[in-house]
Amino acid sequence: MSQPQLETSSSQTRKSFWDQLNDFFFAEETPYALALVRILFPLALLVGALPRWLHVRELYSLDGAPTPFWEGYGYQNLPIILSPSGAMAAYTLMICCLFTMSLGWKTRFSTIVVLILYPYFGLTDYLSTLTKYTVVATHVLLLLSMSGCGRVWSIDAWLAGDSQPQKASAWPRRLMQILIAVVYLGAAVTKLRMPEYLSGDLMRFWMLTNTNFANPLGEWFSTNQVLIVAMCYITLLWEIVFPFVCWRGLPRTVALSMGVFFHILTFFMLGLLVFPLVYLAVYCAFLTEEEAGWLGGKLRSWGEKVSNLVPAHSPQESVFGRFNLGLFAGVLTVVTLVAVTAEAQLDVYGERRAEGRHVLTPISPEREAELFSGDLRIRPIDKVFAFDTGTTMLGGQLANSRTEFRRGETLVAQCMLTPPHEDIWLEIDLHNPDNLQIDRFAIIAPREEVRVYATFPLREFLEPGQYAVVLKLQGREVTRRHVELLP
Amino acid sequence: MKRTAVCVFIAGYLCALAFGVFSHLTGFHSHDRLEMYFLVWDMYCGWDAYETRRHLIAEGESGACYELTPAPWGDYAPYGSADRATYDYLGNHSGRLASNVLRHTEHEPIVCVHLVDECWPKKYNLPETVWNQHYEEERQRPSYYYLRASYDPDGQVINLNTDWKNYLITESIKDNPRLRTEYAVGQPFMPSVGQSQNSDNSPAFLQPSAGSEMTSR
Repeated sequence: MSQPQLETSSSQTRKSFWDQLNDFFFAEETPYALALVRILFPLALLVGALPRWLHVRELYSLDGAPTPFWEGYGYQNLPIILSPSGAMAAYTLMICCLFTMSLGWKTRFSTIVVLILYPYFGLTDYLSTLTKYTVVATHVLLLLSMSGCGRVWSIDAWLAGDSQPQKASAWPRRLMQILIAVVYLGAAVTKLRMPEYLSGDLMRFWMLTNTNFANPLGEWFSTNQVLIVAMCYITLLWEIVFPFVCWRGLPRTVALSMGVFFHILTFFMLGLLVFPLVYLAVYCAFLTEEEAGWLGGKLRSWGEKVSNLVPAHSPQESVFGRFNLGLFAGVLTVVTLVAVTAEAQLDVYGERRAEGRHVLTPISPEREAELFSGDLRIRPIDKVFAFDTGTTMLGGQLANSRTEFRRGETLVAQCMLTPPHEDIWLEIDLHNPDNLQIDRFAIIAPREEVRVYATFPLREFLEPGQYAVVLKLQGREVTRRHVELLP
Repeated sequence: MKRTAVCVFIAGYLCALAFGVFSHLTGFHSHDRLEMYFLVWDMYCGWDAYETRRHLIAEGESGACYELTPAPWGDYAPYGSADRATYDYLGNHSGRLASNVLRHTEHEPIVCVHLVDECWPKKYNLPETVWNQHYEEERQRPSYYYLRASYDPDGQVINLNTDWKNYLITESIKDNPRLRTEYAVGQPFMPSVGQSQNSDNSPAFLQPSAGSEMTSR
């Protein structure tokens, strides 16, 4: 038994670079992995696409406010924005094809339709549809449209009635893997170009941003600076090494597991929704034939329970098989017509209401004064993003936020300023329980500095009690933190 | 033949991906053409310390003002709570959003529309419990209202100021008598097209309109 293995092993080592490259891209395999991508990926896109279905007129049609991305590149007034009915028909067609693509019904046609319409709608609405996951999706759709992803676990395969699953070349799956790796590399380049990233500040601000979906875990973690910095370094390192280790063995398992964990965390920490779903679906491209086959086998057992409900005919001879193309075209046509008719009845802008069109009402003088006051002086307290006390610094950050100290320890006070800020004269004082200043630290915080630290040795002669660390900007007290000096 | 076509496609695709990374790394034509958006992976930019919400305000002939966000029929919030106008970071498209609302509502003749950015430090986005653990002062969220742009009723840009972050950078840099003098002397008679508002890294003070419209509508 062992001899053939040895022969195989030695023959592999003799393979030239071109042979290995040939095996890498052109190995014939049952496309289970891409079939999983084909099933899950459109469902992930639907999470973002379905809510926009109700807003097609406003987002994408001539009767709304489309915001074409191409205008920013000088292509003004391209006549490719559709009428409300046309936009609704195209969008509905795209939604239907996302479903049929997932089912594997006329897979290649469905994928090509989505490949055309998905980026089109993204480019038509730069403000609220186009994102980088639109771009990733376009790449994936392009590769799926050229793959054999519909040859297994699809209606097409069921209708073909092949006893053995068909095989296909591995190159679309390989390019998909390379795409994922390159995107990570690009993301790492972005981070390397921004020095604030490694200080954790950018991540912290993102965790506190409310322009994505709710992310309560991120808001809670945003005050843990050391953890954020550690996560930033780990993420950067992982993104850089991913393209080199994601191919085989234990490093592959670690890199992919971290990837899954990372994308799930982006939902809880950053409030991203569709992006992680898209990525988790595309990650199936990394599954080997055996792994994907095993995973798909679980799905198939569930599918067989469904297929048992259908009378056992030869698929080609069933009504569905004989009128497959007509049914497909019929379903798409009927759904599209119903959607266009329903949307026309919706009266999105309320122009056919019994009480007439909406009437704009003037805002109050108080609100007007508030909006146009022109007073843009930043309050001193808003120039301070955070002010904390502790004892240990790690990686330029206060590692432990504490309010209780013992004599002999060194109190570290850290002030994080809100960027961008002007050059600021900043003072941090230590006050005793009688509110008398007993120690002082003062410095100019130049505009490029975000953090300022002051250290106060808590000497043995200090009496236990409640002390205060006082922060002053431009000579005036802005805030203070009370700390307890224990005996 | 098919095999050759596939080989050409693979080589072309890999070259395109490699060029995207190279372009992003070196800044070589990274944003020159629309196609580059599909090759340059520059996500995760635009993290600021300030949260922003954008308001579209129409000014009528009578001097009365009308808030166009949210629209009377409701605004679409694509990714959470913020409406569409908030994602107009460059201020180029909000005029079109305003024009759409004006087209579908009854109102007096409109003179112009203003885009007002409402900004506040993101520390005020912390939940109450977390705030109480880290801050002794009371949480009183401010709102800084900054006039970002003005449009005519058809949505065409009349005036476009730099964004809030660049405005603050400008103010901090302008707070220097020597630089103010040099800036005044070196101010070109006509702004050049190259000084675009689109670059996050461009010194905001180079933009002639930066902050110039802040005290009046």
